[in-house]
Amino acid sequence: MADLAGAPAAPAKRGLKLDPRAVAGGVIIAVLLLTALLAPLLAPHNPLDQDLLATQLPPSFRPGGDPAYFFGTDSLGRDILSRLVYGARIAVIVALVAASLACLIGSVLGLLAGFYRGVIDQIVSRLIDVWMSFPPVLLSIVLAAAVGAGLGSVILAIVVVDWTRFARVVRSEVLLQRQLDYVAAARIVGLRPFQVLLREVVPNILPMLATLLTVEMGIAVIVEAILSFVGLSVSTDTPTWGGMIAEGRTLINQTPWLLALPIGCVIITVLGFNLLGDGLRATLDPVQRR
Amino acid sequence: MNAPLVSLRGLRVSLPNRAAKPMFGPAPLIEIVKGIDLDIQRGAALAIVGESGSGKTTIGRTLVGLVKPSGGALLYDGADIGRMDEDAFRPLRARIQMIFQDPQSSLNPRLTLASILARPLEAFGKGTAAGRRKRAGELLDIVGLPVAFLDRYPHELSGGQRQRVGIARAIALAPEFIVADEIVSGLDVSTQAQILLLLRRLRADFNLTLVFISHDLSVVRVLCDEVAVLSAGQIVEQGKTAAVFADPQHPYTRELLDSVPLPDVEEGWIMRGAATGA
Amino acid sequence: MSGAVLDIADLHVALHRGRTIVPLLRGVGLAIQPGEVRGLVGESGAGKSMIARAIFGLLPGGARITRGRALFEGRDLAAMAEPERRALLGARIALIPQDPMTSLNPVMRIGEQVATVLRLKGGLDRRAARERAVELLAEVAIREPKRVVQLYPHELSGGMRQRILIAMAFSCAPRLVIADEPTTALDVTVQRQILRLIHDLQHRQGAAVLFVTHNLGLVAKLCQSVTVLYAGRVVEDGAAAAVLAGPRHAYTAALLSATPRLDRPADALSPLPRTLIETLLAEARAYDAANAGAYR
Repeated sequence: MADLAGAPAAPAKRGLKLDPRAVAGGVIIAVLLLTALLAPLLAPHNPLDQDLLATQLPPSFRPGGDPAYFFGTDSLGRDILSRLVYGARIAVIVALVAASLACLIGSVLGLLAGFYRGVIDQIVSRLIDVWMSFPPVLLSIVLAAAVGAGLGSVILAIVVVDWTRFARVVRSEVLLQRQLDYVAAARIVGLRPFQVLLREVVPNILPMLATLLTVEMGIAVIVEAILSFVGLSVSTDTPTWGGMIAEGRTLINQTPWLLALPIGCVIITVLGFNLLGDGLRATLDPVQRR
Repeated sequence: MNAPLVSLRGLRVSLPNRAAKPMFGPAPLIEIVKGIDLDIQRGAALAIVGESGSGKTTIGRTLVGLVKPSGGALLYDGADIGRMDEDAFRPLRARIQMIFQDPQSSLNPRLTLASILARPLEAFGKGTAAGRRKRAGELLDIVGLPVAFLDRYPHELSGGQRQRVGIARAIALAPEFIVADEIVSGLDVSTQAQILLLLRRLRADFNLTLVFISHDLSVVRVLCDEVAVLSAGQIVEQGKTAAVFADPQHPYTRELLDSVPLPDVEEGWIMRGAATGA
Repeated sequence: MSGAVLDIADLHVALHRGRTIVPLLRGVGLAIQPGEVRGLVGESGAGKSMIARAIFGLLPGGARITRGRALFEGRDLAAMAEPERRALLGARIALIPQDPMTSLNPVMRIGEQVATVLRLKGGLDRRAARERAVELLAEVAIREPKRVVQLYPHELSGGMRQRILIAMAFSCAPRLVIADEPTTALDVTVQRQILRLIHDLQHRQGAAVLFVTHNLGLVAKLCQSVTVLYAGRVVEDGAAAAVLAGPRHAYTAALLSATPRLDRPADALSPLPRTLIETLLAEARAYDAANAGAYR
């Protein structure tokens, strides 16, 4: 009776087959998280301690380097490695908090607009249109300048600018999903509209959302670096990668490593988030996963 | 004769015409179903047949409350469900179910069969989680699938197996009325026969009232004792299936029936209807 | 077998994925004479579209012809160099695809698409091709062909689009036309018109047609001969009238009884017996075991 024989069904494949990109990105991000978490243990020096007798030392493996300062020192004699390690803390906090908040706000608005349409869709869509017509980085700078420097205002600036990224993509994805018959089927078996949205539609946009979120974390790291660079982030006595880049910029000819090292940190971090995002998309989608 | 379970009186349905939507403002409405009178008795199996654009799918979606009528009355067990709002309609959901044309898109790709089949019970707050899972297993068994399939995802099944899941979901709440919309159109001949026979068995076992929507007249006879032929949103002919097929009265019904290629060699069939062909 | 337009013999196709080998065609043989219309019948997975793909050199990734031949007018398509094969396709061998919705370029006007085939495959110049395109549309019974050539595919119904694809297939007087389930997406009344069109053009040009379908009814109405496939093997082959009236193979008989008919009561329908399917699959496995070398 069953049509098992004629068309043998695909055997059930259990367990996630991890994408190599997800693994590579995951390792980078895990190292970053551990560094941020264990900064006091990992950093060989206090990042704020000045050693005015040992300023602008090159990395220890270069001629004239001091083994006590692995990556050398800056113009005030502070240990670069320790400052990079502590800088990871700000980067991680901003990446996690700002991106998650932007994701939360944007997704909720996108979900409601796409699923319920009507007035709420009109409002959200127009808001997105207006928002998208501002240059995003400039908007962040203006916002941070208006609110005042500090970690909170950096996060606020990123959230206020980047929620549209999520709202736009989530809304169009929900519009697509609600046309599919599984949504109609869920209504027919008696789910209330809100349950349909939460329990049927949301699981279908989660893989995409996870990807978007990780990529956004990378973007948040860049924006934080930019705001630090222009001096609108946390106070200058807290080490940040952007702040270090700004300090290194003035001495680019004498001490290029002061500039190169924090830039390298930003690049590797963003790369890590993007790899993780790409890999997640391939890993989480049960249909693509064959 | 008893009062019919479902009664359509001058039913009209209009849908937004997306193709003609202006850049701003809503799309204009276009009337798809143009005044239909139809009675469906308890326990009957009625086929609604027609070609694409005839409005058969829209009627089906209106019967299960996915689309609201724009005019006329849609009486279910005496109550006009066409005018009910979502909350008033909800208790009826357990009694009125639908099987969809495309099991690929009508089964949520992110859910296992266990979750898909437990949803109807969950929505009506029936049973515990474990009880619902057990019931989901029983449903799979009823439609001829192994219980081990509970933890599979829809994309791990063949087309025929997926359609069985669609049927299992439709009977989960033990409904009295089921609308089946083109449920065998994408399937192989042998799978098609299995699905038709399964539905015929379930109809008897569960004492179902059935509306079977199809463009393929050959499959109709397996399941339905009555047929309504639809053309451009109106019923052109209706009656007992055997009688309509043996002696069609309306020229459109005749052309439709003659266009179905029977597996018998027949010279000249291809040329026939050349004059009437649109 | 000389004189056949298409002569396929002992055709084995296998999918190679790493070290696993999945047999797709298990020694298929079929021949089509000039002007013959042959039905190729099977359920999904039987290998009917794989035969069409092998002829067109469009086998899916990892799949290839591992043994056997597919002669077109005496030349082996399997052994042919790619440019030589490409010169045949569209001109001497044409395809009517399954899905008229996706087989036309959505951003190109109908006239341009038809004219492109005529220029590339028929050797006409730009202007002659454009004029011929209008004539061709008229030949496939499209009203107002001068207006239709200016339209885009989405402005036409499914039936109209299939007419245009048929016009394109027959535009260069092909010797062999492969029709891959060309009416599955169409209404029954439109289906008959499309069959009539294929029948007319085929008759007029003397082209041979390989009509791939799962519908035995279409075989009965259009084809002189039929080849029935199951699990990549030919289970029955013969004149359409003889096979349909008195099938010799149990599978063909079972397929006929599983086909619902509007002229018979419901009880006449019976699904494929499970034992038959198991027997056929066991036979296929036994064949693979005995002919493992044919898939390498």
